[in-house]
Amino acid sequence: MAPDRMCYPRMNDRAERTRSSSAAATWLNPERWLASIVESSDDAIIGESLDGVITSWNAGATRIFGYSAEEAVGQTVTILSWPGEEARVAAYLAKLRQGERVDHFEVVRRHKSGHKLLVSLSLSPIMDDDGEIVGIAKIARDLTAQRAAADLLAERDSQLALLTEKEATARGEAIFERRFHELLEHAPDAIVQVDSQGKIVVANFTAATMFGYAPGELLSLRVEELIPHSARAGHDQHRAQFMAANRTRPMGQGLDLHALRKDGSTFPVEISLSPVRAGEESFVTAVIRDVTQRREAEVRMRDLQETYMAELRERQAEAERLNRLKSEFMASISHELRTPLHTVIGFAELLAEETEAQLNDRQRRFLDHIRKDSEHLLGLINDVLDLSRIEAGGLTLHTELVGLHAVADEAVESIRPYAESRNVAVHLAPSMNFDVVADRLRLRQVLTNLLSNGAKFTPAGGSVSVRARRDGHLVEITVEDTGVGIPTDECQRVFEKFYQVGYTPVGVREGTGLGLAICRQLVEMQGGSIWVESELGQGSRFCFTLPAVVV
Amino acid sequence: MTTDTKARPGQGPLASKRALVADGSTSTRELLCTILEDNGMQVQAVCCWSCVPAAALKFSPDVILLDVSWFNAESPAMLADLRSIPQCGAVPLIALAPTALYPEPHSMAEAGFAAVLPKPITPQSLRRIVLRQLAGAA
Repeated sequence: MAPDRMCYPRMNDRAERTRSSSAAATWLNPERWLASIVESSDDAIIGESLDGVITSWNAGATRIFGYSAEEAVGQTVTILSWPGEEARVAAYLAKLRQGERVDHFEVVRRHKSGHKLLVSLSLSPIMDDDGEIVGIAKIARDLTAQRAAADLLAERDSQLALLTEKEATARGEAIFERRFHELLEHAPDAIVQVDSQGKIVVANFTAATMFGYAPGELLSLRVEELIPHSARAGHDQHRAQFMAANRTRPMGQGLDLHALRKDGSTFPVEISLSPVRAGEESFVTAVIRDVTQRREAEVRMRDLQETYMAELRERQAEAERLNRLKSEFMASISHELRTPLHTVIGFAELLAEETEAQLNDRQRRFLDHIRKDSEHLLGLINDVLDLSRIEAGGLTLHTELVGLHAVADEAVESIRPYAESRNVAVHLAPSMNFDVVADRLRLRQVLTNLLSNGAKFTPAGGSVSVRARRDGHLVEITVEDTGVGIPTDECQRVFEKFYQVGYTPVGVREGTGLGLAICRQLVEMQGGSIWVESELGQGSRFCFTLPAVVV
Repeated sequence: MTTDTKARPGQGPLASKRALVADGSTSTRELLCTILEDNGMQVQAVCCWSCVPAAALKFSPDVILLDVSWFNAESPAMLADLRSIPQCGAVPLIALAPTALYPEPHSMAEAGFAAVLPKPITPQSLRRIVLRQLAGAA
């Protein structure tokens, strides 16, 4: 049998199989057998020459593309082309010409009526007995309905998802509304909304409780029912003004507002008002806070404050009274202690002048004891009283620009007799021409004290000197002696009250241990500092600073 | 040049000068009187500031020595009263201070004192300051 332009299964094999399986098949023509299979296929099976002319067209092709076999066979396949797909199809055809199969590629084709078709296309080369490609077999499966179904399904899924989302939103809104309702109902403050006529349209649970009404009972009452009678006059007008102003504000600023309970009792409140527009309607929302407890607490606090203030004033008065007493006592004691000593010293000095009568040596020695011990005692009293006054803040300094040389000279001259009586020389360096900011009197007191100490702790034949140097904004003043010195580890302690180091060259302790403490206080009060550099047996250098210029 | 030389009554630069002394302490008054009289001065002593104007009227002092142990806010007014007496208008006032540091010398100067003599008073210091003031007033 001469082969058709289509390739079929080999007849011998088929004959063998049909003979063994079905007697009915034995008489069937193989071409008709094959044609029957092709015709019964739901897919379009199309034969095509290499130049694109349709050579065979089955029933499936008619169903899918709308053309009958008579209409299609002999036409070129361009009747099925969809604009824009040519390039893709050409690429597949090129592969086919290489002898390759192309399976299941989706491509858009055109129905006879012109509408778009989505098909899955498989292409196979048709070869002759020599293996030459003589045509193309195309199997096209219509995917349009399948795709439409898939799209529909996707759309339904999408709609379902949307529906679920809407349900979730609706559920969320319901939950939110419930929470908002709970929040509103159980807010710590009463919340009341009234319309433009003053009728209560919203009242939360707290409002009912606060005003002594049953839940819901407030609705439809006029808001004036919640206002004490004394404050009702003009309330309508106030509400109208508030609605016209249309702005949130506290009510009755600076006033003590009160609200009225159902039982007629009143209580203090704070009210905040907000205007609300709903379409053409205007409302006022009032947030009302019961401030009874706060007011009571304020009253209690005020009472307590007044009590404390009274107590404080009393204590302050008592402290002032005690301070005055102390000052008076200090003044009195200082007077009482000093006065007799002053006269003892004065009369001793007078006797020493021997105006009335000549004294013998013994009497002169006794008189000298009286004078020295009296002066010593007077020094102690003065130191104690002076320090006490400084520490009590009772000392007022009169700082001014002071010429250092003149003050140092006065101090040196004041202790010179004492130093010379101990055979200690006193020197004032010429380099003292500095101005310092100081209280002249207190500066002299510091210098006198340091010089006196130097003379006291310097053996006969030694010396005490004063010098100064400028150090930036300060002047450093040094009182140096050639005395017994101070152990290095005690240098820091010599400025402490009552602290005494070692003994004088004559082996006795002298003084109160207050002189250097007073010096430190006075120097620091004048904006300076004081220190000592010394070694045992090597003399001492007491240094202090004072501001050199007015800052 | 000042001198600490002692003078006998009726002699020396202070002789016949008049001093009015006001001090609350009997012994201090006696000490002051003794030293000044020993130097030839006539001395009137009173025990308080309030006695000073009356004494000054009668005594017409050349110098007045006032104890300022109890100097207070009212003291300047009392001094002004004293100054208003014709006999005391230009008389030097010497403050007898309880210490060299108190009352502050500058406040004494502001109050109208010509000098401050800190206690304890010695014959030398008293003589020197009175002499200086009388020399200045002369």
